[in-house]
Amino acid sequence: MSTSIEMKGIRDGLLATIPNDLPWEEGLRLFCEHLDRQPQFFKGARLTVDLGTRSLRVNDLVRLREALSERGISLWAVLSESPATMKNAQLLGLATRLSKTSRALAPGSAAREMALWIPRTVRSGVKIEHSGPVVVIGDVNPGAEIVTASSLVVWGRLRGRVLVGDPQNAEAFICTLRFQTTQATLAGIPLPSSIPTEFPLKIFLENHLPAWEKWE
Amino acid sequence: MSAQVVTITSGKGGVGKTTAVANIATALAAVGQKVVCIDADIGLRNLDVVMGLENRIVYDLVDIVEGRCRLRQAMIRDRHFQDLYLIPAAQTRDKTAVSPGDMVDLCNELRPEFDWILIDSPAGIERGFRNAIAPADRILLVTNPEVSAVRDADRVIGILEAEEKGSPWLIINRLKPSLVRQNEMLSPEDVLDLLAVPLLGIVPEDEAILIATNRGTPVVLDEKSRAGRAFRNIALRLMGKEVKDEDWDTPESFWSRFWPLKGRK
Repeated sequence: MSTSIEMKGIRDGLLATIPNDLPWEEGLRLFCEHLDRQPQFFKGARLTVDLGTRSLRVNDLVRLREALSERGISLWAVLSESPATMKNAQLLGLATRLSKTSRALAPGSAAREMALWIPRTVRSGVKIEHSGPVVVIGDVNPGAEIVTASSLVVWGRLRGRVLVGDPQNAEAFICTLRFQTTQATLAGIPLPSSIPTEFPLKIFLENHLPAWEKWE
Repeated sequence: MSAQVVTITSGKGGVGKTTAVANIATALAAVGQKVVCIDADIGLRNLDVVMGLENRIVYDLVDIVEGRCRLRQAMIRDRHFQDLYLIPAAQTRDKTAVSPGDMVDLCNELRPEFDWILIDSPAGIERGFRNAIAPADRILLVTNPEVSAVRDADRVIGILEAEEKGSPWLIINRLKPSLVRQNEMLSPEDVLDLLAVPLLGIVPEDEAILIATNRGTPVVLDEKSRAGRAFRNIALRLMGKEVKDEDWDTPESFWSRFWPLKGRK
């Protein structure tokens, strides 16, 4: 059984792995002790924490973030195999995957990935990244951001920034009750401001160009 | 008696949180409620100034938490109402001097003696904000009808929802109906459309606020002030009373009516 904290440098900063087989309280205590051994080294660091398969609540993640904040460390992202932990991290506005690393989104697999179900408004400051489809029951407010390699359905008003579909995914689409954003791309193509905003829409690609129809 | 803990927060600074705390607390005390205000803005305290109590501070919140004084010693009685108290923030420390757990313990000690504990949250979403919301039963969110303030308010709502604190009640402060008519300011409907939380009240822009703040006398004590009237209505709604929304477009003279303040010394 591994009981030591692993730490390594990555493009996004530092990646810490808390041993999966430790209870969370014990893991967090060990992690803090590890950081306290070299406080000056970690101060100001941008940290990603791999939490393994643990299912953590929002309050657990808040405690982790506060423990790091007290040490002058910024928690940037958490990695986890637990959907509950991933969802709660996203609610706190934390990234849940590494950027610009080998974990690039796989175009062929995106459509087959499980959909991310968000039964509430996505508010300012929240960034959601998911490789499969994303379904929001609520609005996407200004200041919020959704990035998906697949499609996006918003049962509400879309007013935040959305990057939908990776560049090879010609099947990706956006459905929303009101398309009211000026910051949207579909398969890497910026969507024009001429798209109607007053009725439900489905936006898709036709011959590599954005097209739309009433969503009924 | 078990007090309800109400935290007043905003996200963006300068939208009128401290003014709201002082006025709601005074309005509650004016109708006979026992109220204590806690200034949680450690390092940047202001509530003492707005309540006109800055010269009476001996001990502060950090002194209580660090055991240098008893709770009662740090509580300053208001100049106008005998059942209204302030626990001031420390001015020479930072937010890490107090933890969320300390705030919960402090409020639990105060609860049996009061009807209301009002906490003035610092701006931002960092440690001071987390200290302020930790003991809250109810959170009031103050925003101005400006895009930047509303954006920050939306961020705060997201954090409160994520931390399972429930939907805050909204106070729209410094509304200027003339600018709304000219499409130069967000209307209350615009703000509510975006934030989608319950509205507790609207406070119109009123220069009486500035005058009252500089005098250290909450504007609810000015019977002619429109903002004072709005804060009194907000306090009553907080107590669960039904108070009709005002039409802030009505000429000012219309509001110059007497409002009986009970419980004044």
